[in-house]
Amino acid sequence: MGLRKNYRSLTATEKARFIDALKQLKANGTVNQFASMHAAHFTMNIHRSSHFLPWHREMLLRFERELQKSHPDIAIPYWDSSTDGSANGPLWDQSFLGQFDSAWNLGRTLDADVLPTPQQVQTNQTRATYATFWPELENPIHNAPHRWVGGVMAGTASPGDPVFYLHHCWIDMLWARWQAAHPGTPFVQSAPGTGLNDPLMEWPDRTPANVLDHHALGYAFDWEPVPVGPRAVGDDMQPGEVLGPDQSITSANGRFTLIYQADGNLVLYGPAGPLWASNTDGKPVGVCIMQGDGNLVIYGPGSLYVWDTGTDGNPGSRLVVQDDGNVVVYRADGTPAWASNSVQP
Amino acid sequence: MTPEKWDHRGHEIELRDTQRGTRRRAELVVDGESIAYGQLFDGTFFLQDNAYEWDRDLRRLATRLVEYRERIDAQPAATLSTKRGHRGIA
Repeated sequence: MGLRKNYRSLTATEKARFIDALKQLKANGTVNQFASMHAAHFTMNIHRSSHFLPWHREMLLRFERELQKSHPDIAIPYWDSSTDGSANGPLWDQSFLGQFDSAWNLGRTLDADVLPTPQQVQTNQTRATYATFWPELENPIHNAPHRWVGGVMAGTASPGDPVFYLHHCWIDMLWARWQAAHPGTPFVQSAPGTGLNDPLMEWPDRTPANVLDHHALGYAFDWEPVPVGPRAVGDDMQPGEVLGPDQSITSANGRFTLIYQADGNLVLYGPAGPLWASNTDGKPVGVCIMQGDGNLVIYGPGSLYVWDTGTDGNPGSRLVVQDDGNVVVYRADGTPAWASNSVQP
Repeated sequence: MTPEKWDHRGHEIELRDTQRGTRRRAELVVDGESIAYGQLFDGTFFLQDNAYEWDRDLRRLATRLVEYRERIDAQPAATLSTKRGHRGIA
């Protein structure tokens, strides 16, 4: 589970985790392994073929999993170089990616070429077929930032520069956005061996078909919608009702409040303070929904699963914040399916 | 391939016909420096040190390398950790 967002939206904690994880992967050789692997396959079908996007999606996923060994909540952020093209921007700050230039001998030149424009990106998003979409996304949109950064990033071992991952996360995001705008548009192979079910270089058990749905791979992007429904009011949540960030319901006697906080934590407060929490602060923030199947679920953008009560299979259930301080999911027949076990004397 | 030599913005670019064993190949030389290049999946040329500039024509690629290097050399020193010529991973 991971929410990939613009690096500018990272919290200080998220930035620190990401930087620490990169340093660990450099120290244990993983960064160089990925760079060498990319260089070894550079002239194969990972570029200039319909496997360009799926191969790099799989690669980023594998690198992200390595990062998550440092902290499970890490997700690769993206750098939108079409709107964020200053060599003096926060991306290159010494507290963020700037520090790696000298530390890792990356030889960045920054600003040595012209970055893609928002208009180029938008035009590319309107391409009606995969066969017309990916070549333009690859070149010029993908190629130009490699050259703009320069140094290692402009070579075949470009994953040796951590900005590679933020850049390719953006390219992957543009593919996901195009996919969302063109549902059902088929994958089209560009040459023999680059089809939907042909193996990806390096990972013969993986094919483009395995990576078409990025949600199935366990991540979403910050711009993706969250499930919607009528806002819960009063002391309960009826099937389909939701709590958005900072929205709450309160027991009939006014003593207990269940709030879905803006930090992503669902918390029950009583007169003396918190009584129960989902402990999901810091996770992707989206919506808390009482589903029609009886499950109370927290979703992030793109319906990214965060937490649930595990009470699906009970259609028609409702959640109540009781006057005794307990929060209970009641089945349609009135029997309890889940409780916060926070009854107050 | 026909050997060629030409000047581009004051830089000498040369394509030399070389032979290794039974294999003939063009060698690209810019200002006396041999430039490593390769071919992508579809045959498009790229240069090792500027691997994301692609062209079907090695000559055009060589001229763009000269221009790319000029841009880098023209940058203020403050924006560069090292000048061009860097490669590899620490």
